[in-house]
Amino acid sequence: MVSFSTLSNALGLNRLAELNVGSVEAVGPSSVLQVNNVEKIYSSRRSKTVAMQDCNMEINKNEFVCIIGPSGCGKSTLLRMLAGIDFPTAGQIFANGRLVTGPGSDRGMVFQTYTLFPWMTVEENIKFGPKLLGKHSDVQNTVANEYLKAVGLEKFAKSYPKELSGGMKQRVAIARALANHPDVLLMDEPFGALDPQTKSAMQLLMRQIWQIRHTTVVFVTHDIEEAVFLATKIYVMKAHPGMVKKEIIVPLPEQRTLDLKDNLEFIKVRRQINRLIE
Amino acid sequence: MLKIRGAISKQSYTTLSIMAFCFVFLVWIFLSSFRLVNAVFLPSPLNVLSYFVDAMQDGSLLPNIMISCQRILFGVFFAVVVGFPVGILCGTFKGAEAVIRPLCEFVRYLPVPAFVPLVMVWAGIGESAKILLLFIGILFQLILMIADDVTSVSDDLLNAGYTLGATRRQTITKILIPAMLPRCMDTLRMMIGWAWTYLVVAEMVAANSGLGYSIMKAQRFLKTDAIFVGILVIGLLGLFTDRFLYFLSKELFHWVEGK
Repeated sequence: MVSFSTLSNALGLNRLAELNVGSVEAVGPSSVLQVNNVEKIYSSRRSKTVAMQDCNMEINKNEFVCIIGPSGCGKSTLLRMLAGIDFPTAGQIFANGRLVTGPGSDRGMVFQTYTLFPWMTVEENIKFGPKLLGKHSDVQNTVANEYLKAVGLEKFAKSYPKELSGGMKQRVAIARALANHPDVLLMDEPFGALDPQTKSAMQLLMRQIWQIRHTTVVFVTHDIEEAVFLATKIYVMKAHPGMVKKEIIVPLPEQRTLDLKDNLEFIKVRRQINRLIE
Repeated sequence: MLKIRGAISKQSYTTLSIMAFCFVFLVWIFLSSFRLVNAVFLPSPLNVLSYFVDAMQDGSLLPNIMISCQRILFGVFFAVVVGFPVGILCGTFKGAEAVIRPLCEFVRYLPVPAFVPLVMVWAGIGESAKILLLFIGILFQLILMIADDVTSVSDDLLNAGYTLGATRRQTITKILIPAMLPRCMDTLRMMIGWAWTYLVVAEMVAANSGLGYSIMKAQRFLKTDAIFVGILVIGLLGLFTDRFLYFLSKELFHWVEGK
């Protein structure tokens, strides 16, 4: 088996550390996303299913928020509502104080399914967002190079998605979303389909990217360990109807490596969440 | 080799395909050379071949091939020019679908030969009549199949575009259409197959040129070898067109996953 240091080398994490361009200025908590009393009811002629009720959340700038809960708690639906590709039946969602009425480039998203554009090379995929926003081609190139480096895929710039493994595809998807400089990055179980080794490596990569850039992230998962490792704040949800059961501020250091998963404090948080979900 | 969905080498695939053709050919030779079937019903391969060579030399076959191909080309071309955008509309917007789909579903169940008399009234018996018949025969099927090609593009691919800032127009031109093109090519291949069927119908009923007409004329004089030549030429033309489009599609859409 490959050790994690080799994996992180392969992922270009060392170069990532060099890229660190000073720490992000300290900003007081200001809400990027606000979920107010959101309700989601699916009604058919015969029945009415309350999928979500009185759901409230506040996601602040530079936070890494994980949403965790049993299947059917509506965590993915909630994320899609944050993105503006699904809508609540009651309640509101605000992004930077504005009511969300549809999708926008201020809220980037990484999906569980592979959603790279297969007819574009890796590089073209990453440039796609900036191109849509009408950025100059020099800017597109700079951004593409920066994020190719950030996810360690410089060598694959000219490859097509079909030539990439699942983990590599998701790395491109992350790079593509980040290249647009969104206010918040929404991630819907992005590592759910990956094998355990790749998954761990991706978690480390994601955490390192966050430690450098402090991009606000909302990350949906059903993997407790993943949530504790990545998050600064966790929303534990319950199902039927879906709502927030508890908000947990993760009491772990900012600089994290995979060894942290054996740490006593880590295990304590993991157990706490486990009990909440059971 | 008998493993369900098991892979076989490209070489053995080709060999088997060629063997299948050879087998049919051998049965044909066997039946005709031992005179098991009357030569009027089943001409010998040699007779068919010599008729083919004669017809090519005296210049009676080639013009018929050319005119048939030309009709196919125009008929398919006009059907694609109209059907492609209408199909995309139908697959993209529910409102457009409500208008277009039921109409197409209705028309596509009408048998094309039933249109022949009507088309003759409308367009006479000239070139435009054959092209119009092909157009009618293909268009409605094409619209529905293009619409299906559009709906089979995954929602999340479009959602990915939206979250990257794509407008509605950009989503259609930069994501939806490129994503559906490989499937459209397959649809087109199928349409061209149907186009030959409709063409021969049109040429048998009302024409004085084309491969369908030559088959019809041969039947009047019980020239089975000529009928065979007509049928085989149509089959080969269809096969070549299909293979050509297949390789073109592989070349253009090399990025398609799982190929």
